[in-house]
Amino acid sequence: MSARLEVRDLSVAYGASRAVAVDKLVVEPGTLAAVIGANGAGKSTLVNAIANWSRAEPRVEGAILMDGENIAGLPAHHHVRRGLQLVPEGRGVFMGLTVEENLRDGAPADAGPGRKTYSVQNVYELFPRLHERRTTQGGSLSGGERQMLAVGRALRMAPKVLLLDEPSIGLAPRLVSLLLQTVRMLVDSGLTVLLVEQNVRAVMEVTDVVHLLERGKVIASGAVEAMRDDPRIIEAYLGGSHG
Amino acid sequence: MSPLRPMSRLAGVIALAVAGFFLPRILGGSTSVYDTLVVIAIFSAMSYGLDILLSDLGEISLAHTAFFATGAYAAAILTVRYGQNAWVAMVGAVLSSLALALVLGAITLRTREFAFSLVTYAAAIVCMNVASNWDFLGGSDGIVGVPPLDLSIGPLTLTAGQSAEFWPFAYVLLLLTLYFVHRFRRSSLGQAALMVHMNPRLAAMCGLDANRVRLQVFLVSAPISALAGWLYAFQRSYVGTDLFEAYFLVLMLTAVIIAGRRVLLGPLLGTALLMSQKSFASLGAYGDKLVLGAILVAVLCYSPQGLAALWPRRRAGAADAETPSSNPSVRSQHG
Amino acid sequence: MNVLQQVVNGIIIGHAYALVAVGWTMLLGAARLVNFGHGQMYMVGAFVAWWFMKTTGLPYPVAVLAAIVVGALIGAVLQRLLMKLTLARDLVSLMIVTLGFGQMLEGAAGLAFGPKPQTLSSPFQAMSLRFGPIWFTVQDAILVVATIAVFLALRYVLNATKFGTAIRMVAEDPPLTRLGGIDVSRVYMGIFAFEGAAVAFAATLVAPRTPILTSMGFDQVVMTFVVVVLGGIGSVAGSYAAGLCLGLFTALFGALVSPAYTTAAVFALLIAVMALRPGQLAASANFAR
Repeated sequence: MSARLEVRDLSVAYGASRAVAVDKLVVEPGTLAAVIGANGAGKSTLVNAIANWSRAEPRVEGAILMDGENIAGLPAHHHVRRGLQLVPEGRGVFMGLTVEENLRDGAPADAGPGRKTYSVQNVYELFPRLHERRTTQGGSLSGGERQMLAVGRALRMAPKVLLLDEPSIGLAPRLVSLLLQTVRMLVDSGLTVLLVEQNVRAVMEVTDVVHLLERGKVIASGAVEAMRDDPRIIEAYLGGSHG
Repeated sequence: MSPLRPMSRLAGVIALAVAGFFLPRILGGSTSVYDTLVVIAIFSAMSYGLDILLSDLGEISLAHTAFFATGAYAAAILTVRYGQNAWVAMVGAVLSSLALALVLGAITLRTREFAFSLVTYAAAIVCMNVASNWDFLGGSDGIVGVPPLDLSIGPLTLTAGQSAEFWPFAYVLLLLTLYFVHRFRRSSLGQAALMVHMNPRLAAMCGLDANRVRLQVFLVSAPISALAGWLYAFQRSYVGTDLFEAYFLVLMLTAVIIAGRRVLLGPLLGTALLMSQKSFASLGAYGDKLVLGAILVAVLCYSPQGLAALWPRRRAGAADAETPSSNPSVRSQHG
Repeated sequence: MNVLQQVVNGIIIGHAYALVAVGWTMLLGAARLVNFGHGQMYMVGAFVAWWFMKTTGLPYPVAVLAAIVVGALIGAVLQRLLMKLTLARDLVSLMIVTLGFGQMLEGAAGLAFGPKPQTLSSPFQAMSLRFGPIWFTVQDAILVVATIAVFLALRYVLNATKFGTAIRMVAEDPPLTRLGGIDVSRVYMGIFAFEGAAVAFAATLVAPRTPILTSMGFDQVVMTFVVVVLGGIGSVAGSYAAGLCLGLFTALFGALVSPAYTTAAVFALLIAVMALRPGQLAASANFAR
């Protein structure tokens, strides 16, 4: 049901400038790993490159291993089939479609053994608010509802590994908590999650492992208890809590 | 261009220009050679009007057939209906094309990309529609009996009645057009156009009003095609609605695109290639259309930056700076 | 002048405009592509039907089906050609390719079908119905009914089927659609095939009214363009309404002012709309509605 994600020698460049250079990053099955760092550290770039998806045209090199199989370079719909799902930053839902429509038409043809599938009903159970708003268009939802919907859409693909890019942006603190608690629940039931966040405080409450990204490189990694007292993390706290 | 000293470079260009004048004679001097070369010269000049808009500003105007036709019709009407001489006809051609460009420019002021292309295309069709229905413009029969070209001033006799006689005029028109485009690219308007095309945000920060630049370039480009039309009216001695047809449009586009963007001799070489096919290896009117369309499609699908991009030239660095690859302004519209 | 008859004519012409425009607006709305070869595809649709009837002797309805199939194939070929350019993200070249493609079609049609005007004969063209002061042919009636059927079917597909949702997703946000595991190029293929099929279908229904020439279709784009802009790019209901209004406009303008200058008048109308509502040319938020 959950898979191991490993990133090796990943390099991402836009034009002539190198945005990300990560030698190794591992997310163990069924754990929640957070990538934190300041604005522009390359967090979105990193996670987009893992999913081989972007709204721009980066040059990506390196290996992305899911349960040992290198999926780097495969087009996005192949990632979906293998169970890697990305919830992108910003626009992650279709504004012109209703909540129901956003959720209804996603499901890999054969989810394969051991993949937890989420029906539309399951998503509504996870996010009751979405059920209330199911005939509303994506464009009319609040930021928090849109984020829930984006996560719901990702779940509909029966993922083994879920990548979340800054889900807390623009959300009220209470909603951020709620969302991250829900993510934690998903992890506890077996999903592997890599979470990219600026809101260090909220993330520290739910994550298992922390990676600190600075200028495209991972400069510190460790279990959350160990990292809590790391001065660099504390500095990120002070910087990141403005996010 | 190799790094020759400016004086020797100028000498080289002049030598080439003089040699070019004798080209028809070198190629045998038959009527068909003269005809083909005259037509190449005229149609290239027509294409240069589109060239500065497309290569420098990055906007695809599909109205340049209308400017070409306007020049031709102006020449025909002024000489046939009003008995004016060729000089007056020339002025008329330029002014009427400017007027049309002003109207079209005003209409398309705030349109971009596909909207701009569509509106200019529609405008050309409407002009064709009007020309084929309005008796003043000859209706569907067009205007016949355009007199031989007579640009004589005082004691200097400058006339042309047959192909060989047209060659000097066509050639001079071509040279003037090339010179004009060359200077345009070095002018502040030309540089502004390029900046607006390649980096609209930077251009705005430099105080360039994109809309004004576009309009200006549009206005500058229209008379170029119109003058080609003016000469064509005399060469063919007949003006009709076929001048508006898509064939000329596709011809212009292919000529401009085939060699590569912002290559000075590009449209000339492109036109020469296409017209030579039509004159010497024609597959009939329909076959030629098929070939022309196929060439355009093939060049765009397999080498969108033109054939020049296929050559790994030592100038590759400079060429990349001049020819925009994925057009960033396009993406910002459609992204 | 029989105003009622002109209104009826306008309604009939309007449906023709709408049907001719429907594929074009879908393509523009969903794929952001202007198909300059649209007029030539129309012409080929008519000629394929004519040729089919002449060569096989099969009846008109079968010829219509043949034209639709060929039209869909032409659309598919165009999509394949453009795939390479879409990958290179050169949107501007995409447009010119359709222009070149149109020229190819025109040349090929001229070679295949000859320069002479032909008549696509439909048995329904000769049958007419009269109701008091107005009359129309059965062909006209079929045109109207078929157009309404196509629009309703399209509306249904777009709003109630999985493929329709995929089209709407692609129209809004292709990268996000890809992220959802959908093969976007398959969706484009469907849209292109629809454009080819729809315009061919329209041609077979409208062409019996007048002689057909391989040089026709060039000016088709203007009317189609105006319908699409007036109705809102990508809007199904909008294209229908705009087509109808435009049909009435041309019928009345033709009768009251001058039949020759209708294209110019329509263009003037377009300019007026663009001047008053500059946002009209943006991709409609009402896509597929």
